[in-house]
Amino acid sequence: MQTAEVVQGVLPTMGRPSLVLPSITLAAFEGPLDLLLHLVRDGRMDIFNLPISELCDKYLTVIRSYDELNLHVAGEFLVMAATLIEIKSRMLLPKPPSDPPFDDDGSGPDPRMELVQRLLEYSKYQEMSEWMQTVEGERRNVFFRSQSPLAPEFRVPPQFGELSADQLVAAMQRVLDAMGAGERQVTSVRRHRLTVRLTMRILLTRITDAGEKGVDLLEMISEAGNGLLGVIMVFLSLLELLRSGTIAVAQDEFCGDIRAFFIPEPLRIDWSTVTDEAADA
Amino acid sequence: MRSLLGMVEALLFVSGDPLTVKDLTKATEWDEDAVTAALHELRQRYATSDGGLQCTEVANGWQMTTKPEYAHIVGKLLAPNANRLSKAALEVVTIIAYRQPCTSADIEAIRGVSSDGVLKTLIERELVADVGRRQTPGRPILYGTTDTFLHYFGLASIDALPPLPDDPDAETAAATETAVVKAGGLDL
Repeated sequence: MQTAEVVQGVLPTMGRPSLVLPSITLAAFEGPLDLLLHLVRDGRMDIFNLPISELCDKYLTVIRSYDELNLHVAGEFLVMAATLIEIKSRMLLPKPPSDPPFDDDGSGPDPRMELVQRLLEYSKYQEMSEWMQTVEGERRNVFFRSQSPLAPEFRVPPQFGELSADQLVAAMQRVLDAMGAGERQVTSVRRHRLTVRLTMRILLTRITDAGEKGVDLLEMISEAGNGLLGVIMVFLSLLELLRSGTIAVAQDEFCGDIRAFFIPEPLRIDWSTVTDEAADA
Repeated sequence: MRSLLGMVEALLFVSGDPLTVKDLTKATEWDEDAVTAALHELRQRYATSDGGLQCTEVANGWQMTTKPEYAHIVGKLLAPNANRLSKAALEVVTIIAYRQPCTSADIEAIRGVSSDGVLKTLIERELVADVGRRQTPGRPILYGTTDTFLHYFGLASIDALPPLPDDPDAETAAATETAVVKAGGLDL
């Protein structure tokens, strides 16, 4: 209700009944910049020659009009109030005479500049968010079929590099689900002597021995042993081997076998250096 | 008799979700140009027919949807999907869309108010996602928009966003400049 009054330029008085919740009213503005923009537009102020004194007074009146300030919400509003007062006082102060004479008209940098830039920047995004809201509304007039339950089974095979990490995780989850992961109850914890390093060595030997024929992925998983942990180890090891460029995988046809091949040293791409460089940049 | 147009239509119908030209190319085994042409033809046919469906370009793909004219009727049968985004959420998603990848601090700098809660909602709705880390102290998370974002707003691709307006007073500024020039130029 206070918002409505503010919008009309009539500022609420101090002695309001306590049922008014100030936080709700302040929350009607998306932060101090939003409130400032509103005041600027409402007062038809020239943003490039901001009457900072007038703006500051209006802003403070709005802030003061709340009987109690919810500090959590109002903190940012108070910071802005302080900024406004600072700008106002800096504009009131006479310039030190030591200012270099070639500095425009001797006024130095405008203390309002930074605030104006922020307001302009923010207003751009506000304008675009209004456009987004329109588009959102239009989009809601359009309906489409929800994805058919069979859709994941019939996805067109992706090209190398087209898969995101999320999709890889989903694929792994399917393998684990098929093994009954998640249904197990842990009744005892045993220490496994299985490490990624060891599994990598075993797999690499297996893949190197297979030569040009390569080794089928499902075969490797079924041979893994150690149940769920074995599958996870195989998966992690294959990712490590792929990353180091020691092996490559190929799939000849959609839903066909995925085979892993050994890559001799001179043909390797060292993915780890590629990612490290990217990380350093 | 099978036509490429028919194949594309059948695939879009089955999919429900948007299909990319690449998806359609692989499935139909035609080249991309032909598939794209078929898609445009299909869109044209739906647009000119008085049927209730349309074929639209959205989220880097193509999708069959109902025509907006029938929203009222469909709305009687189906509940509207999700709540609309709040003003704050729209602002944050707009900033991310234009500034991506950007950090939570970047967003806060523009809005002048903490946006973490809103950001969380947007992530939950999969409109924005973590796309990496900025290589600065603290390695803050970088956010970008998702395909769900494009789909939600019915945008064909991120390039379909209109350009960010220049400073609202760009015209005024230009006018001032002209005025200055006319008045005898700037004393630089």
